[in-house]
Amino acid sequence: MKNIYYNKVLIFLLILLFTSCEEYLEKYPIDNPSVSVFLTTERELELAVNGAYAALWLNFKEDLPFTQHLDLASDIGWNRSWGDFQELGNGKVEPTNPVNQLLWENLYIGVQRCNYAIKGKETLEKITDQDKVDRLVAEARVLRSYFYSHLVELFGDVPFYTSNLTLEESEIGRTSKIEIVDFILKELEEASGVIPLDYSSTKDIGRVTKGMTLALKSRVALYNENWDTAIDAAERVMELGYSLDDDYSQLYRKEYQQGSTEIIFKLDYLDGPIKGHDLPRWCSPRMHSGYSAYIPVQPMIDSYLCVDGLDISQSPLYDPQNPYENRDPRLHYSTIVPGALYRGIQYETHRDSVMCWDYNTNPPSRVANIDATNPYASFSGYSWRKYAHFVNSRELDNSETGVILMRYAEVLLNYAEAKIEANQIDESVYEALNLIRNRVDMPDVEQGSSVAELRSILRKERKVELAFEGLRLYDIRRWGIAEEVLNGPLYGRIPRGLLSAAPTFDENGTPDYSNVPNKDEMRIIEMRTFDASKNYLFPVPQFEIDINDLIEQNPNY
Amino acid sequence: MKKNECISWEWKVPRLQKVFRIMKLTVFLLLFSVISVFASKSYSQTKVLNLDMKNSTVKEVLRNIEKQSEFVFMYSEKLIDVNREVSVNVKNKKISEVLDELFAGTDVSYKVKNRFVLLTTPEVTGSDLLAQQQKSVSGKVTDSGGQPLPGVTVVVKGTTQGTVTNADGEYSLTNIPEEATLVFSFVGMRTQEVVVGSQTSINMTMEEEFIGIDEVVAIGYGTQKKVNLTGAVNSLNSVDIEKRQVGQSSMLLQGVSPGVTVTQESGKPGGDGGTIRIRGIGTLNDANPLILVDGVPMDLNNIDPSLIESISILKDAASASIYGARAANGVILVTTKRASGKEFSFKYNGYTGIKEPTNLKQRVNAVDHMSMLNLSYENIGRTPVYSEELINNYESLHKEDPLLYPDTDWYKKVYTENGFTQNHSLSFEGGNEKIKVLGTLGYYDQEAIYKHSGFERYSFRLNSDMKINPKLAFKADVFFQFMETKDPARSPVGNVNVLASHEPTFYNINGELKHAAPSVGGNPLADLEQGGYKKIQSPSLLLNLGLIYNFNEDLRLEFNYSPHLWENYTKEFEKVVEVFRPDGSKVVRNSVAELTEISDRFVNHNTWGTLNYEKAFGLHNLRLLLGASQEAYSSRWFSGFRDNFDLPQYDVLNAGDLGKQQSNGSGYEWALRSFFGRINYDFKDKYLFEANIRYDGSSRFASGNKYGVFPSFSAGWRISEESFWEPYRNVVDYLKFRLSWGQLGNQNIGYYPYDAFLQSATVIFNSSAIKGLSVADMANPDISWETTEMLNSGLDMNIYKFNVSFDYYYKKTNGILLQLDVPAYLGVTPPYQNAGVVENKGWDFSLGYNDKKDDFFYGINLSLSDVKNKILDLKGANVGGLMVNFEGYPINSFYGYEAIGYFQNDDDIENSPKQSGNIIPGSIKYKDQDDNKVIDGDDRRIIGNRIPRYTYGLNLNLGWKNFDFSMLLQGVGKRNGYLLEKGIWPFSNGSTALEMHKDYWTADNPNASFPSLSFNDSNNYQNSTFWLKDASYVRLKNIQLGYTLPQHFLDKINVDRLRFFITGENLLTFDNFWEGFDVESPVGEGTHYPQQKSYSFGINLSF
Repeated sequence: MKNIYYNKVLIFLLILLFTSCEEYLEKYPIDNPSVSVFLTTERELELAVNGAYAALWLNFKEDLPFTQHLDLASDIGWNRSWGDFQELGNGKVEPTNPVNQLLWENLYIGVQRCNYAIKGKETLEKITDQDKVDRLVAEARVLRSYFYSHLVELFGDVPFYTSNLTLEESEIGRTSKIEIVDFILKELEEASGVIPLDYSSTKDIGRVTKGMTLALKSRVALYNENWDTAIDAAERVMELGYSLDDDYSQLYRKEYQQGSTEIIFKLDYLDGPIKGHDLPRWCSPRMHSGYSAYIPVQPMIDSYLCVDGLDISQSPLYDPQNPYENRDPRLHYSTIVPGALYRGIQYETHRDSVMCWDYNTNPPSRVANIDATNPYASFSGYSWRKYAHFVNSRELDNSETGVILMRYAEVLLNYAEAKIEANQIDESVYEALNLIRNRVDMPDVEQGSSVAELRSILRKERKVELAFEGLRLYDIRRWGIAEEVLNGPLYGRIPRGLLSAAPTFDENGTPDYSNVPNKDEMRIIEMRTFDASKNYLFPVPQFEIDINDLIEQNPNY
Repeated sequence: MKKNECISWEWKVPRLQKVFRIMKLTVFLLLFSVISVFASKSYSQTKVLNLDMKNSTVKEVLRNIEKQSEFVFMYSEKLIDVNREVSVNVKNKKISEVLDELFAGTDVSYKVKNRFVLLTTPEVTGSDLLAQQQKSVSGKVTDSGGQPLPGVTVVVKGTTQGTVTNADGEYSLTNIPEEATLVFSFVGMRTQEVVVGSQTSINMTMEEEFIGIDEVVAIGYGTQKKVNLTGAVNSLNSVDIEKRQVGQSSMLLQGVSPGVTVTQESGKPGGDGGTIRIRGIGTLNDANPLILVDGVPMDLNNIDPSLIESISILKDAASASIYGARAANGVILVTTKRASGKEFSFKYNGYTGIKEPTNLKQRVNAVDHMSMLNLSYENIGRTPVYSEELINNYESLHKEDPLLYPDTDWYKKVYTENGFTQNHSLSFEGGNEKIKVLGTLGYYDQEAIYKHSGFERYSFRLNSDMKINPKLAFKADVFFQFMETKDPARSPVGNVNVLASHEPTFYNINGELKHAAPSVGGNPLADLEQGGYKKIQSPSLLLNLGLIYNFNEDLRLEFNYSPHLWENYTKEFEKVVEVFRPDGSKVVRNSVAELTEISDRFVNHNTWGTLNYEKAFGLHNLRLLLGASQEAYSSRWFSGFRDNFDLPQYDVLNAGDLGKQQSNGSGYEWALRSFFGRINYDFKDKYLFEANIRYDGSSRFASGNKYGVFPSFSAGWRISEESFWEPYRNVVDYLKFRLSWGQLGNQNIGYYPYDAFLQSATVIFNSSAIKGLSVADMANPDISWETTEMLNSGLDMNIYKFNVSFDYYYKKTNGILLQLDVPAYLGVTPPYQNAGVVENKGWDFSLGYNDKKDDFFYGINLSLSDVKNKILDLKGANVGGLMVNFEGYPINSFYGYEAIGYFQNDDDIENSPKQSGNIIPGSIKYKDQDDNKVIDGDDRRIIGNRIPRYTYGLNLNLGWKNFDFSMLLQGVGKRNGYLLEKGIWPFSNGSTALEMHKDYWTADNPNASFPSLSFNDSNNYQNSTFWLKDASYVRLKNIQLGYTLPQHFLDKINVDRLRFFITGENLLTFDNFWEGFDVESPVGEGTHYPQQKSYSFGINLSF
């Protein structure tokens, strides 16, 4: 009897165990859908487009968009803390350079996400709001153009696809830059007819606008010397109601960015679920717990004109003993120079200034000055003030200051440059330049200037107005002056003194120190070389060459 | 019925084979083990039996008695009619009562000696046999302790004439020629030969074979006698395990088993386990073996070493394929200790010790740091960092004010502790025939070599066995464990390894010592004292519930259910760290305290059932196993974050600010369902066959690809059992040849690799976080199992007193799931594809010799193995950084330039192939492999590899009277290591230089060990042979000296055993690796927690 009973229990157990249905082996992620079921509703399309936006924030380093960094690989700045990055600026970049590869990869992640969202309009099952669908798709097309525009400027001809590739069709060659630029211009033109001027829902503020679309078009056209298109696109932005903000210095503070009429497109940051960025940490002087790692260099400092509109080699207002006085106010808005006050403490980088004033105490006190004594204080003796702003120390690593990708001043400069280069100089050119100069109390451009003179003025203006906003590297490349400005020593200040005389400047506003008597005392931050036969483009990452026979390397890498 | 308490008993067997038929090998085995293990009194008086059998044969009754007791029967089927049908019904009867009843009315008599029962009939009394003798030899066979040995086979060499010894160990042979040689053999003892000559009386003392030829090892879902194994299985027993003082069980396997490579890459308390690789690396994915503790998958490090009874390592496909889908990297079976069912006993094992780093690098002093850094700037045209003045005056400044002008030995400041370690294990066991219980309570505590850090483990295991009746038994094990790893929130290890000597520790601020702010990085002392903590607590509860049901003597069902619940709970409280400048101003790292708590909870339901059928058909032995198992695994995690703790002594989330609070959570799941079977067949224990099959279904693949079949076949031939081997038995008394083939699978490639899933990608619009989704990877629904095919041939033998085992194998893994490199411009991570093929060819060799002479015993065991790894196919993907996977080369080979010295002068630079970077005299020069006068990517070559070759271990055991000594040497014959960046490059990323860097190139020192100093130079730091090092080594892994107190002394205090020992781990290492770094350092910056050597003292006590 007993045995029978046991047998029954055992059989029951076995049945219980192994006869449960086939679902036992069906497991799916518990937080997000599979691509095989995704993108059938408008909401899903919106999520995919949002995902494409997110590619703008993809980490280049320290949660920053790469554009912010590229100026540090140009003649105006330097990044102390990252050797691989320095190679982008000092000519040693190789196809295996990881930073170079990162640039490439992140931009293409953006392309892929845009393509995915754009393709999504074909898989929608039901459309209730055609306008919204069209708008979302157009946004993705603008973003895709944005990513491609950086790719062609950095690498030249690049692999180009507008519909995501399957594994089988994944090996493609490089498409010519001209063809891609044409595509971008066409895309942006089409999108500009769909994308609204602004957004009524506060949750949508931050998406690309018509202004962004056209401003990007003017930039791309200008970069590719398509002057008429650049002029036309810029003019159409100028009709949209943007204007320069009154206070240049406040553009890089979150509180003021909200109400800006100048900022066309920026990346917002949020301390919390998403980290803020840490530009304040990397830029701020040592006295403020910063790393002084992202710095402006001596030529940048010297490039700011005097208030009379003349460069420091010509202006009678320039006093080598007080070199930072009577200068374009943007010198102080964008950088911190020795003697300047920053967050209540006197900034001083003269090696012997072992003490400095702290005005945060009452009365002011003398404190030990590590910006002079710390071996890793700013190598140039200068710091960026732009984007370094922070109030409490948490913001050092979690700044919410938006990083500007496009602002009206650039559009004006694009317009002026295209007009000058197209030799269509008229009052509007002067007006555009003067708007920018007058805002910071710099004098008007002299009427009746020649094309060459205006070109020189414009290039100097772009250098200071847009400093540390990620456009400088592109400018020196397209002007063909990179080989001049990225060759030889990269200078910092004289550690224990000042330049005894001003350097001379060429038509592009590039200083030449050969006439300065004590030039040899200047600190050499690094030695740079620029091989014009190759360095105008970054190399295609070795990775791509290795696995795909259709991809050829840029010349001479 | 005749009862005979003490007979003189002998019986003659005409043909030797019959001896084996009559007395099955198992009887010999058990006989031996029983006699030697239980030299105690009255088993037969105390053991009670229960039988209820109707119309069964006598044979079945005897077997049943054997099953429910430790009794074994010896009888001749010729003399005793065991096929007679009987019915027995006894309850709680002693053996004598049962036998009386069973043989009532027959002339069978019996004799019970210990657990050994002889059945005989009156015909075979010695006198009858002796009556016919003409010329005879007789004698007595004893074991080394002088005890008589019954059952020893005595034959005349070269004939089938022979006999076995009787219960008193006596034998007698008649009619033998004078030139005859007698061969004495007994399973478990070494075979011996004696020439008869004129002797008429030959007494023999048999010696134990030290290879436990009767050893039984755990195999998948069962056990197998070692002699009958057809696969490649190594095992470790509790004696081996007790010798080692390791915190993490994975380290038990280092150097003890051929074909098993263990690499220890860190000495961090709780993190000092090793990476285990069995027979090379078969996959580019997870190459960790499957580890089962009493059938339950678990991390080997999650089991306290003192709980382990034995470890079996299933190395070849034949032995592992019963675990199909997860066995491709080998299987490790851990069996925990169970109660033996003897009287109550109590054991304590414990040790305590200290630890210190095996190696620490030696950095230059403050002045050297500054002047060398300056030089490295000047050499590449940069302005130096430090003024000459400061450097020149530094020594006197340092004397005046060592705080302001420090010269710090950071290791001395931070590594202040001695790594105090203690381990205690307390176990009790007891029970009776019905219920047996073993409980073990363990505590392990290992402190770090710096403050506020350590690892603690509490474990409790209760293993119980219940026998309800002869048919039904239960097993119920409870295993609870709690582990805690504690570390400062900001570990000092990174900083302490890179900080320069001139960086400050403290400043004197208004008479108070305050933590100083270094010029780069953090102050590890401040981080240690102020930075808060990070705790990982891992409670784990496992039940192992088993049911064993014997339908009859042949058929057995086992059913097991093991729920396992565990959690990794991480609590990280990062506090505000205040460091000061010399003037008293404060630099605050982390302006507010932040608390993150993460709970990661796992549940695993593991269920399996097997049906075992075992039957002998004459000389054919058959074992069948059928089984099914399923396993469902799920993980759920969530985390919470808050910051701004105004009252930092309250370190719970509620005490923080609501403002920036965050919560996150998710999880994953997978499941496996499997069916499996095994056939074992042997003919006369001589020809052995085994076949396994497993049918595995995994949730990790798409429908249609979920199931895989993994078969294996193996065969063995015990040549030494053949009669033609007889002449050689005195030299080689055990020889077996094995051959196996099988297929295994691997599914460890992520949880849902067959599909691409959207991933969250948050954007910020207008100061609020907006949800977005994006595709990050490509899908490939066609992917399926990786399959590993393995051919193994092996040879086991005993030659003289040497145990030798040799295996050669060929292992090929097909369809390795690879994320084949796809163009980066696709913007997605590549999909997995069944694309790769990797082979491993290798051999394992082991040699053991154990002997004893009087009070002295000695044993030496050598294991040596090699594996050659080669990637056969990667579908052409050849992409590389420092470590690459290239077709035709081993997995993770080092790839780079070949350094061929230094540029000696400017002319040399001019006339050499062009290299990029700041090339100055003293820069490293690379070989232009393709002779195109430019050093570029095409000049890179495979320069070394990481997979250890020629791994070996040498274990020496010595004993003299009550002293014992053991030593384990362990090493790797061929391997490369690579350090880079902060580890070995001077001034890399804010680090300093080492003493050895002083031997840098100058025109006067052209053959320096290091290139000329040049800051952040890209040329010198290319991946090259320059930074590659030989990482082969020999290590004195363990050395131990023990003393056991004499028994006569212990008897007085009622103690069974008391032993003291001192031991050391990792005491000596011989290698050619970078000075200051442990040779097992992982590829990287060398900024890990250093590997440790330890010294301990311990006690083993039982009563």
